[in-house]
Amino acid sequence: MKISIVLEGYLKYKYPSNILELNYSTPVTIYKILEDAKISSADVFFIKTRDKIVKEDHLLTFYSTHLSMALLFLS
Amino acid sequence: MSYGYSGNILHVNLSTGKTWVEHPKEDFYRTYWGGRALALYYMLNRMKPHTDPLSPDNLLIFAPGVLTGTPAPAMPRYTVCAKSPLTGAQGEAEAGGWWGPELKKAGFDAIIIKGSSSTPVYLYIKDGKIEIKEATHIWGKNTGTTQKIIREELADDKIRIAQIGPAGENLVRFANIVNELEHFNGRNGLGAVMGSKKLKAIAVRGTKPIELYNKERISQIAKEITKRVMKNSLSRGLRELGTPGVVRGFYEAGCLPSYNWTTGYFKEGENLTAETYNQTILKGTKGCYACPIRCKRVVEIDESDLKVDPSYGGPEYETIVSLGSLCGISDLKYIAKANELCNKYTMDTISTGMVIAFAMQCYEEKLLSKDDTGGIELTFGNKEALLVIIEKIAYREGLGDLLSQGSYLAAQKIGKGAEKFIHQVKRQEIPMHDPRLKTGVGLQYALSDYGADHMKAAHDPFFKDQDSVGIKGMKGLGILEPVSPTDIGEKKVALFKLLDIYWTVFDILGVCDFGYVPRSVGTMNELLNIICAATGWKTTWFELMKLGERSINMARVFNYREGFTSEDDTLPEVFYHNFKGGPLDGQGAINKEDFQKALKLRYQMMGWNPDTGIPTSVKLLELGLDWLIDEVK
Repeated sequence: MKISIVLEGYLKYKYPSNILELNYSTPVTIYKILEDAKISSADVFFIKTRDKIVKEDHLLTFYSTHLSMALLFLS
Repeated sequence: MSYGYSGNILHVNLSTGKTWVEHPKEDFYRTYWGGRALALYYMLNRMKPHTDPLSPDNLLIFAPGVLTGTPAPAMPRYTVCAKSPLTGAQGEAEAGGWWGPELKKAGFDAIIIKGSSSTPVYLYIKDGKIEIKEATHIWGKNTGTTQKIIREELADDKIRIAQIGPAGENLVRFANIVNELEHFNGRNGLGAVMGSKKLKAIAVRGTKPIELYNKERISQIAKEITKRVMKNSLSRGLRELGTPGVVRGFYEAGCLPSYNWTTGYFKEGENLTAETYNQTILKGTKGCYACPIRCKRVVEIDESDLKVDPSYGGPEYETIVSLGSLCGISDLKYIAKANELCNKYTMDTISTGMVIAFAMQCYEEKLLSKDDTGGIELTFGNKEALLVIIEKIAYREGLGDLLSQGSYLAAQKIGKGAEKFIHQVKRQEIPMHDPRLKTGVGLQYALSDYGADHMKAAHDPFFKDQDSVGIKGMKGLGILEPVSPTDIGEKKVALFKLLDIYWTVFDILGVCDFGYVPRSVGTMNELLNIICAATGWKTTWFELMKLGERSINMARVFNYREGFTSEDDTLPEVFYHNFKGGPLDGQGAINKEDFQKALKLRYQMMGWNPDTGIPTSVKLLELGLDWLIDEVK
């Protein structure tokens, strides 16, 4: 299962790339993906899979998921 | 006199044409420091309760802070205060740019304006000298033209000008004040107060350096912060994306205020993101005085049917949303044009977008007809109508006259249930941040002395996790424990009491929220060291937090005197309901009972009466405000 993580907002300046790709052979929680990708949960405010907002304990089971990590900040 | 101050407060009476300079003692400065605290001192002492905001008796106060003009990152700001014609409460708005530092260099710590001129005038202040000059020839002119004429007639292109455009002259209740055509004292209608005094502009020029206690130390800290600007992801984000950087997150999550807050889902949100902005209309970036972050945008459009002049800057996040998705508009070029018009006429873009979105909903719901709109098809998404209606508001023509009064009064006049389509606190339209996902922001909307405002405290996400910048960087205030952005319990209330006071201190000192923790690169220690090095005072965060709290209590007393009660500390009804449409559909409602409990708890934590929200005598005594005790008896 190929997971693509798209980092939004200022996160693109914090991590080496704004698109991170990881591979898993079994279903995996977002919490584990964040840990593997070394993304601090402090930076994550929205996690979007397809058109749904999910929490960090959400289990990803489908193939080739696009994850979007977004930020809530002020103007 | 302490360093950082000139010791001169300029008083101007526009009715008589008299000016005089007051020289307060050091203890006065050490108690009220500057900005809103200093302004509130005069508003409480020199203005009678229930003064008509547009009468000569209202005071209009321009007050930089002790750090304004210090050559360190993010210290350009100054406050304008008056009783607000929009809210009827204490009115206040801060602006960056260059005007505040220039006023300090010209030798003044504040200007207090009373009275009203019989004919248009502008003030010219140069190195301690003051002139009231005739302004009939520039009355009615837009801001760009006015700036050009004043600079030409004074033969000095380095003059900094704070001014109003036609909306201020025409007393639009959300008219603002601008300096350098693109830095705004944006909210609360303070431009209308300036217009009511027939004061077109204040032109300042100063060539004297501001006396600072230890300039070398400030310079050293400034260099250290500047070196980190592009390494720190927050400050770099501000440089590269500006405030529009948050559009994408909000739109993808489905909490981008759209169609007059009926949904957070805006299908065409991609068109409004910072990335689209940078690729299509951005010409460059700009900064305020001595600031290396340069978060301001400059846009230029030069098409046969649409031109946008880069002198007026470019739309910020708030503007993109209020004049964009909130009105169902996704064309950035038209939003940039609408922003330019608001800037030429000096109208707050948040309130402007909000009143237009409100009118669009009224039109779609058939509360307004084509006769009411003067033949305009005022539907959501009509970008041509947006531009036309902005002009009509500025000049108070047709429907524009009604909308120029703000959404609260407009809804009352329309009747037929129109009030259910307005979203305001203390009659000020809410900004473009949805408190359903940031409940602390909601608390601040409800409690803000000057109506809903998104800059009253840092936002909840900075404190969500042990590793969050707010938790890591603000332990010095006792902020140790993370709180979920959607929590509305005791810990959130305690956290936002501190955050409210902390950013209030920034406003008093002249510091930009985008320069220091938690929003940006500078640390609390660096800021404290700059304050000590500028003033020579061995101050502490304890003294500074007391200062912030003092000003909050002064504002609370001012509003109480004007008839405001705990019933005015509200949140718009829409936030007690779930999101409709998009990824957050069916989620998010704030529990009203929990919110009410949080407000009462906050009153108690502030030392206010838990039922009425009025500061207690004991709290006023503690803050050295015993002179206000009679006001709350």
